Amino acid sequence: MSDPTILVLSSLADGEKHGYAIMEDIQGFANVRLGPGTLYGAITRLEQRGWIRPVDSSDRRRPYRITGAGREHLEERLASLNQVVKTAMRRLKHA
Amino acid sequence: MRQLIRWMARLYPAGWRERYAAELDALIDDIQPKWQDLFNVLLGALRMRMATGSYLKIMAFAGLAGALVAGVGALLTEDRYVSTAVVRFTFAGLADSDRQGTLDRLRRMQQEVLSRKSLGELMTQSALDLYPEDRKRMPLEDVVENMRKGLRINLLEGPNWRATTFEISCMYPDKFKAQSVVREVMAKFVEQLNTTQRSQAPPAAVTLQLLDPANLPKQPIFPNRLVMVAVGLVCGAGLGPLAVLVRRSAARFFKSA
Repeated sequence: MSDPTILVLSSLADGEKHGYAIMEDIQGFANVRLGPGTLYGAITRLEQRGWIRPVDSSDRRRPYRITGAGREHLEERLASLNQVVKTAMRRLKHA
Repeated sequence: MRQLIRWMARLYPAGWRERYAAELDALIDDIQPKWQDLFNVLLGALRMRMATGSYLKIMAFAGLAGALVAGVGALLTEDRYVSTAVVRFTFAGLADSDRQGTLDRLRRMQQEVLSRKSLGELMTQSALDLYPEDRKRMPLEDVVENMRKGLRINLLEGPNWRATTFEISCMYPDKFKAQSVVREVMAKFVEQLNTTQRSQAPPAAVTLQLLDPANLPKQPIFPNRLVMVAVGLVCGAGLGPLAVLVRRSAARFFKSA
């Protein structure tokens, strides 16, 4: 699992976070360090698709929150991934 | 490093910078920046340009990025110096029956000088200490093979029974050591010649003449950093718009399908 958009959506699934907090969170739960260019590339795409939204803030560290459409997309992708994981685990057991 | 990454962030399109530059700047303040972050931001800017820019702008930007990457590669590439000497063997008063035998002896001398034992000894001489890092992590045979690639003995004249002229050259990252290696190889030739002559009865009439002593190279022969940057610029300017063209065409195709 190294798709930055899914990692960012997963990070925002439990509440709003700014760029650095997202980066740290992803490193914690997925052991993946997103570079600044990759992180903001993903944030740009997610915002354009309406899957995340910036939260009003006077700070330079602007937080983002996941939208309903973003949550729906994340659920679809995770369900699909879950199916792959289940199949692979089942096959490994029987191999 | 932070400042370098900030400069790199200026390569993002103006519209993107207006919206996200302050946030990216804050992120750069928060992280412990690494070299890979510099390239990551460069790559991010390149992708953003490719997604939004005109072909002319993409060409300029990709060319600049190519030149930059090639420039960093050129700076990280180790210098290589070449020292050269020219030596001539002359054969005086040889009987016809001795001629072929003398040329064979000369070939054997060259083989002996370039043998694994001879080069291994040369490499480990405390005054030279060649390829120390390679010797730590590779078998000696492989290091000797690498050394042979940098050590050339080229025929300039002959081989024939009147005179045979060789050019001996050595390429090495340290110009003083390159010169010393050529001198040492010369010394080994002299040593071999003396041994051969002593073992002949009557002594072989071969003399060695040093036409050009081993020079101390002033400039490295490799890398040519200017050429590397130019190649990076041309490749970037050519491949960048091509990649965007392919990507946009594919996106249009899938959209219409």
